[in-house]
Amino acid sequence: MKINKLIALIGLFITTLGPILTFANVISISQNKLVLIIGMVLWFIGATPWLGREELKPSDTEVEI
Amino acid sequence: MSQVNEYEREPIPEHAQKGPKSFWGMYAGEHTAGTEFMIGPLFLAAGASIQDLILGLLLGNILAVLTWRYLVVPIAMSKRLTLYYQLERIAGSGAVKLYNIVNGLLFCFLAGAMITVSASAVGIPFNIMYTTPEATFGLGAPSFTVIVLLVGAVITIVASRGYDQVARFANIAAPWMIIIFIACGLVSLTQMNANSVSALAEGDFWANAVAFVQEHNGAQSFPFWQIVVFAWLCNGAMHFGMADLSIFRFARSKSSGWAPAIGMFLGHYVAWICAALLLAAQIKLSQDATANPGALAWNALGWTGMVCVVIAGWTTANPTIYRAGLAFQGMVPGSKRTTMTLVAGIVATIAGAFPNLSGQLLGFVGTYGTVLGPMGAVIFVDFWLMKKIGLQDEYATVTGASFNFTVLFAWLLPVGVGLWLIFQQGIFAAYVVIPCWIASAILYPLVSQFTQKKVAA
Repeated sequence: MKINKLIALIGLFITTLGPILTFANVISISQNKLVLIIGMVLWFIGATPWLGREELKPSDTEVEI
Repeated sequence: MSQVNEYEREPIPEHAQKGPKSFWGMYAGEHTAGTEFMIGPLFLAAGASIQDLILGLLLGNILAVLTWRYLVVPIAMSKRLTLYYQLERIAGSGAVKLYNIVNGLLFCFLAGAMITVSASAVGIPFNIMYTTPEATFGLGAPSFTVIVLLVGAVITIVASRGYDQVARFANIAAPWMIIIFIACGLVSLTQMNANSVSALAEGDFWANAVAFVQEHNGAQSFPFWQIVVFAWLCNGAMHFGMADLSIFRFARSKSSGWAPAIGMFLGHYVAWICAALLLAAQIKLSQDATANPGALAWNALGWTGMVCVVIAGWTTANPTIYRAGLAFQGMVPGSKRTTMTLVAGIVATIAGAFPNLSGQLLGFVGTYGTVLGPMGAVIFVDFWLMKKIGLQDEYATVTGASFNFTVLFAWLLPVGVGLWLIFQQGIFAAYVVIPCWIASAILYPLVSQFTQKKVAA
């Protein structure tokens, strides 16, 4: 479980970092697109076993706007 | 799943109650949904200034949180019942079925808009674009209509198997989706060369985009107070309408009532502004003011943006179709949930095939609050006032009636007038929510004075 959480958090960190570096003109918009793909893949690999086991909450049955 | 389906017809026992921390976690992922990709750009398209948007959304969201805290939570914690069971005790089981079917039809429209949102992203790799025809009930390009039908079919089939797996997936995606919305904003600002303090302070990136839209679509305005009222009441069905009684009945402490703040400020503040920036960037880069969520996210973030739009639309449409299916099932005795979910999905998919309907989401959410909000007024008055003025509360339970016609009158008369004002007089839908709510709150005890019979204690 710990490794899944770590992978997910690294993915989320990468997903956060890419746009910040883009905003700061450190990386280009096309480089950011690649960074975001890596972040997304890591997030879903780690978060699926980590968060997917959690019990559903009362709000999960409600409609969102 | 245990606590989600339990306690439907009984107060929440003490051991199942949750502390404030649970509610903050619960609401953090709520309200960052597929609708945000549509609503954000619509503010810009309607001519809102960036100052009005930032301050108007701030004030409107604060008012929404206060409404949850002081209108919903005290009743939720006192009664600890779902909205539906509480309504049944006041209005009767037949009236709840009617309320449910109205709710279900509105859900179909909302799910339809989300199918359009998902389809707009699915079409991108195939170069199939979302275009808006002139007529409200005009279809898009035939290829886009085919994508809508396919996306609608997949979402409907998944929903007919239950909301469980998709709800879990939505929970997995929620933290990532919030970051992606912020990424949309940061990258859009970069695309507009507005990534410096001076450019942000000048605000030309926004003003130029609004000017472009006004030049092409005609002059429109979306002033400060209209933004405030919209932000406050776009979730009118949940707070004024008391739908979130079903959530807050689990609250152990009144301070849990502040938790919607996190959902509001992430979803209805950060996400809306970031989604609006996507359209501003597209206008600057390609002089195109089409609010196509898939293309907007694709231009800024590539494949990740496209995946986010698909997931956001899908995870919003799924529980909505499921809920609509349950409502329809309640109307047809002996029907199967699976069949009725398929019916709801078909209705939603047909609605999704008309791209202009999703473009009217600003009006729809106000109408949604106008129609469902007044039932919250009935619950509010029944809880706080009826006994104090010598009338019977929870009248249907006491008399065993399946239809409390006083409640129906107090609900449907203001709603009828409200809908006339919206559709015939062109009043902005969110403006009508509170007047209808107040009218119901006055009519219900007033008419009850004449219709209630004395009930033996």
